[in-house]
Amino acid sequence: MASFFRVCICIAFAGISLALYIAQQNIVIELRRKIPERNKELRELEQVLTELQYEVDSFERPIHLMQLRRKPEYGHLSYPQMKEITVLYAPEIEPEKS
Amino acid sequence: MTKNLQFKADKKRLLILTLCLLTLFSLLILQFYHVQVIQEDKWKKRAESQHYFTVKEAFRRGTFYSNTFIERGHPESPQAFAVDIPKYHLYVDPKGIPVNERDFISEKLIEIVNLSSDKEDEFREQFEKKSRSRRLVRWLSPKTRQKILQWWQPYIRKKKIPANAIYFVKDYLRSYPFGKLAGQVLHTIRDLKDEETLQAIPTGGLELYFNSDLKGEQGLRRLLRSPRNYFELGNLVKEPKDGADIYLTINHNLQTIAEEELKRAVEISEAKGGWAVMMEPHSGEIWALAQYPFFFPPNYQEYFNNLERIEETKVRAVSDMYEPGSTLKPLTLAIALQANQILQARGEEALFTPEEQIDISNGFFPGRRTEIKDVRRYKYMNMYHALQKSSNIYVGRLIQRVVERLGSEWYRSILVDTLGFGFKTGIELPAESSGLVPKPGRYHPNGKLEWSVPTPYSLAMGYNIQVNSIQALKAFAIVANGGYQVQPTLVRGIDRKDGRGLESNRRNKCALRQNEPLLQPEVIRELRKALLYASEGRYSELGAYSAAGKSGTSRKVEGGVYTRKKHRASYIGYAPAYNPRFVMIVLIDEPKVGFIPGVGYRHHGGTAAAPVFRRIARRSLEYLGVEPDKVPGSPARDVERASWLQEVERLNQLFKDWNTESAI
Repeated sequence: MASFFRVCICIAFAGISLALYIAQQNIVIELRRKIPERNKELRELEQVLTELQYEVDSFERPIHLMQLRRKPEYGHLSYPQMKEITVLYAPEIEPEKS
Repeated sequence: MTKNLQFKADKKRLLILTLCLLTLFSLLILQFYHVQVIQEDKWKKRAESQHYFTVKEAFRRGTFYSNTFIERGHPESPQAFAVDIPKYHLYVDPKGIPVNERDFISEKLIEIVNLSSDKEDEFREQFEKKSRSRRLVRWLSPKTRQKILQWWQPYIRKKKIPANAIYFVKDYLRSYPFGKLAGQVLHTIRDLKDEETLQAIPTGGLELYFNSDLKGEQGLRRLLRSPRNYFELGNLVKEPKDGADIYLTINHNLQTIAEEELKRAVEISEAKGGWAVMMEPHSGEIWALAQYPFFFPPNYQEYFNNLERIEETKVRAVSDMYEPGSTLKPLTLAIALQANQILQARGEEALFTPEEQIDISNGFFPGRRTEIKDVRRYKYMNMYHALQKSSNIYVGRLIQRVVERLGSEWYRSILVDTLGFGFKTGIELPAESSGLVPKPGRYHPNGKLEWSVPTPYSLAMGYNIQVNSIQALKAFAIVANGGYQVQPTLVRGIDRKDGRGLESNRRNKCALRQNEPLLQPEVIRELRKALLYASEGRYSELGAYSAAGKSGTSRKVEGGVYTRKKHRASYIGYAPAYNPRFVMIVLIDEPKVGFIPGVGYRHHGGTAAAPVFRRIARRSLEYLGVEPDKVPGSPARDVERASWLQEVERLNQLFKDWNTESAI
């Protein structure tokens, strides 16, 4: 009788493990199936970004900015000289060794 | 007995029948195996072709980026010169649209795409064609496509029209966020692409030169054959591969400054056109390459369909050869100074010294029937005066000494091998001219010898030699960078999108300096001094910044003779004089001939081209954040910082002493 229960427990355990494994595989397959879709979405977003960047660049084209700079309200603006510019570099943080 | 025989016969028949059935069944299994296993691919393909079809997926052509890394420590975000923007072409399947719905659908689409009235009839005609695919409109924005779909989807459900009766094909439109900026350099692609490969057809410039890198690979999309499916919803079976991005050396701000000033100068000079090229003298990076009249790439057909305007599409700084005139004189002096070095190294006497007083009262040279003249008659000059007064006779006398001591071949070899004239510079643009340096023993098409006795005197003052502007700029860059070889380039790097990142094209300043200098340091020192002195108090003077350079005016050849009506006014220089950030050439083509009292001849290089150099250089140095090395406002000048001003005054006094009393 004891042996019968042991066999039953083994079968149940194996069955549950198999079911969990299959469920996990299904999740992986589901995710894999979404990769091309996500890629497509990403590509579309990149293209939207390119289009928006184009709009921004068209507005901020140098000739337009230089025309704006000649207006009296921007007369106070000037190009800084290199000696007036201080460049600060962020320190490189090394990852802690575990 | 009979019964037994009958039973045996039945059994035999049954056996044969069974065997037959089994054989037939086996054949069926075999056929099934043949179809399912052996011919699997064939039937699968046929089934797929019946149920599915593939459409080509467009790729993005590579982008041209501006050089945003000129200012040290201030990298900006990438700025595109030419970029592919996703657009849509609208198609119709006329057979899929019921006849009674065509008018309404056509009118509605015309309203949404905002079609001009002259194209409405042609648009409506497409609905009546016996075809499954007719193109209605090109280059619709994603917003317009969305508007059409928002109307179309409920409409087809209501009217039970197949979804694909109208459909969109995605494509990329070459777009220019900065408009006409660097139009000739970038050029463009033709409006219609190759239908098979979806590859663009470049019209010239960088688009043509880098076409193989800019090209991408088309992708494939698989779709289920069904009128209910939208074409855009299929699976992407092959991802499109975008073309390589090219990072240029041209900076959009410096290019704008150059174009703005050039346009102004050409209009003031009432010239045919002009160009200006700015280059970093150590790395050879071209920072600006402006040309006027401008070329707006999207309107390329207007230029190519008009013979008069087609010239405007060429990069004339690269394709046009011209006689450099007086701008070659500093290089003549460099050659004479280099000859001095060679003779002194041999232990022989030098040809001349920069301070030496040379008699220039006689303009007759061996082999020349006519006298060489200067603008005014002078008696004596030294090297510094010669450059300041642009003396033809002085440079002629120097080259006479060079040829007498070292020979014509040596002179020619310096022009060709050291300064690079007569050979293409290798700049990344198509149709570069190689120029022409006369060669002893070679004949002109008219049968005359290219190199005769007086040729060196003409070469000394920039005639009888044909160069392109990049060659002239490169030769001056050698002077500006301390005598080292330099390779003009328009490309900082290429990103081929293969995971390797940016493939750099930057020339290493230190690597170039490891090579032997082409011109000796003593030559460079003297020449740079002479150029600086010659530029002081001229139209090229930059105010708070020092600059050095030389103007030139050359007559054009018309009908085989030099004309007095058409000129090329040019200026080549660098700034600041002692630590040059750039070297620049400005050339004004055919400025209006005339004299302005108090200013001078308006078609001369010093009047037409030098002020353009001044304005571009000053604005560019400010943009680059370069500290002024000269305090403006005479006489309160900072003598410590601009020490050469005293030397210029001394030279001016010396010139007066030599020539006032004895002037002819």
